[in-house]
Amino acid sequence: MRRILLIFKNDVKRRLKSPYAVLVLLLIPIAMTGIIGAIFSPSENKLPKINVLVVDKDKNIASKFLLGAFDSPQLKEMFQVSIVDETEGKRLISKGNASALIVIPEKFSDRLIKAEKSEFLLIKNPSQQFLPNIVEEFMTTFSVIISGIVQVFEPEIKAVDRLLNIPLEQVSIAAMTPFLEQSKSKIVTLKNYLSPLLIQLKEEVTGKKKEEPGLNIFSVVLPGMSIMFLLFIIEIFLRDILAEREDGKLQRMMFAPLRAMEFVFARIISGWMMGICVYLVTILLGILLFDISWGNYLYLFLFTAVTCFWIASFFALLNSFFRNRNQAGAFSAPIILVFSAFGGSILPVNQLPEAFHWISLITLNQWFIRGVDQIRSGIFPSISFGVLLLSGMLLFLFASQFLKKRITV
Amino acid sequence: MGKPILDIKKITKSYGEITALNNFSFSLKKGEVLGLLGPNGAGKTTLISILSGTVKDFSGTVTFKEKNLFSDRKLKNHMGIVPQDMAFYEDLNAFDNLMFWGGLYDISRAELKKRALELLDLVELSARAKEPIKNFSGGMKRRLNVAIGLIHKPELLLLDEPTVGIDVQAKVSILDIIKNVGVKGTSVIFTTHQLAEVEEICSRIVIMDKGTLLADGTLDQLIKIVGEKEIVDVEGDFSAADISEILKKIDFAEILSVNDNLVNLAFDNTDKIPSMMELLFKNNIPVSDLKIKSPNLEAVFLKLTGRSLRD
Repeated sequence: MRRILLIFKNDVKRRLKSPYAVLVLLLIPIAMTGIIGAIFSPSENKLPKINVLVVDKDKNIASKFLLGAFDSPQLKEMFQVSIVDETEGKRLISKGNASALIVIPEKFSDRLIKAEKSEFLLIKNPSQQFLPNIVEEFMTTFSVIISGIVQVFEPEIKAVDRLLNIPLEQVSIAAMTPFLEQSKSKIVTLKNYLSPLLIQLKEEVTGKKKEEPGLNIFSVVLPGMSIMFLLFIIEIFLRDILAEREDGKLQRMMFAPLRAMEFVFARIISGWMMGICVYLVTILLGILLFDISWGNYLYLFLFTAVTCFWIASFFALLNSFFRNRNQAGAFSAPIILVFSAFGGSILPVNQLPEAFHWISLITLNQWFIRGVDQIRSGIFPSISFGVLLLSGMLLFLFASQFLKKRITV
Repeated sequence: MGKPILDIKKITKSYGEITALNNFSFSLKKGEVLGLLGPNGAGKTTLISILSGTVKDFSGTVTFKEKNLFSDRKLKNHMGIVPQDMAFYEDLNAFDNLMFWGGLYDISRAELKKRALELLDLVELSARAKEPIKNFSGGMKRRLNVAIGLIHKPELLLLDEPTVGIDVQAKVSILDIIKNVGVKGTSVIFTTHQLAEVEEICSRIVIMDKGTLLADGTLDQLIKIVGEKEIVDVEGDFSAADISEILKKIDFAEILSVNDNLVNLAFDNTDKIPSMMELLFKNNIPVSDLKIKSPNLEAVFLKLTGRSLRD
């Protein structure tokens, strides 16, 4: 055991002195997760501002009311309104520079006062799916409200209109009094309905706030990416077996009172432990950079440990068949890429053709991604854990026997 | 002289149909520096692998310090190796390497540290003990390779071509170290392709080829195999086949080896050399150079193996 620990400590020291290869392989999945996450996740939950072009042919009280509504703080958050002439407006909308163009017809205010029908023209940008519909919904609501107001206050509006058309010296306060009284009573009645509203919405939240897994896209991407590169990293550690055989270090070690099995265990344990250390850094970077909540950290540690054990045993077994480092490099990289392609590191498994789904079951990546997903939901991934532990132990048994045979002839 | 520290008896090892070692035996006494010579494929690597324990499926016995080498793992605490390759970690410094390799043996950490510092001094690397080895020259690396082999004060040290590819100064330094460890009582088995090195430092020489021991003795004893003869090297633009046919006709010289462009002969009397030259000229064999030498290890090796050490 002392010699196993000595080899492990020596490996750690060596990796710390030349950490660049491991650092690069550690940072690549982090960078890729950052890029993919930035592309596919909306940075905020708000909609982008809707660009609306308005052609005001009326330039009177009603059109000013509409433009004033757009200028209210609530709608200002939602809409970016630009006043344009009709030609410019049609040119901009045809170029796709706005979501909708609203044309307020000439004499819109006059027709409203006379309670005559009038029409807005709404031109929607065909290349946008939702935003023009929001403008349409808003204009429909606005039209209903204005129509309602006009119908309720029709006599008063008409009276006001008449008053506006006679010289000021002929205006009789006595004649206006009945209309003002009538208007006042309608406003008071309406006020009773509108303030406070007769029907109100009462909000109630039950239970504690719980983050839904999958809401953070980085937490979906990082496990797949990181397991692919963890395979590469542990493969590099285990390739030392071949390097040491080639350059005489193994011969020198076997000249010492070191058993062949101790050397095999030292190599596997070293790859296993350093894999865990590297993955713990990945987990930490995931928290710090992407605000990932990994769920239960004890489960995650146990699952990471069993995963790294599996990988170390797997590559120890592979290296017992390879003749040299070049052969190991040539075969290991395609194996890792196949694991990653079919195991969900590059594309989610459900995006692959159905015929390939069963292949994912023989990849480490698929079991790891599944397991981490469950841990993030607070569930211990017993099936993934069991599969990796049992298959890892089998790989370890085979690897130790085959490697021992390769070391001693 | 006492009992041998290492006694190898009747070792036979085959790889399929190829016999790497065939009934091979020799022993080594305390403080002896033994040169193990053999051309490529002679079986030296197999012998070293058997001693390291990486080759197990063989017949015969290996006794070390009067015990079966493979019965007690702790016996390996008394053996050391300097492999032909630079068998250390280049990303660590010299001191860390000595501490790691020494740590594989049963030595206390304090003793190990003391020993590492002594050895760094011995191989003249103390000033650069904390520098990464990748910055070292070839000679410095070779010296460190030897130091690692000595870190646990072995009673038996195997050196597999420890002077390959280094300059004369570094070579002299390494040979001095080997001589000194022999003087201090460490037994040494030294393999090399440089016969001059063997002549310089080895008290005993073993010549092997095709897995068989051909000769075993001191330099003087081995030279007697060639006898009181003069060694003549004939060089020229000729083929081995052509010159072989002609040399069969002479009975006054012993043919040691025949190669394209070079023939080695042993003459009882150098007066016969003109007769040989006349025969060669008559048969249109072009000769460009002729050297007369006293009997040496090379002549012995050629006589025993029929080929030079590098073949």
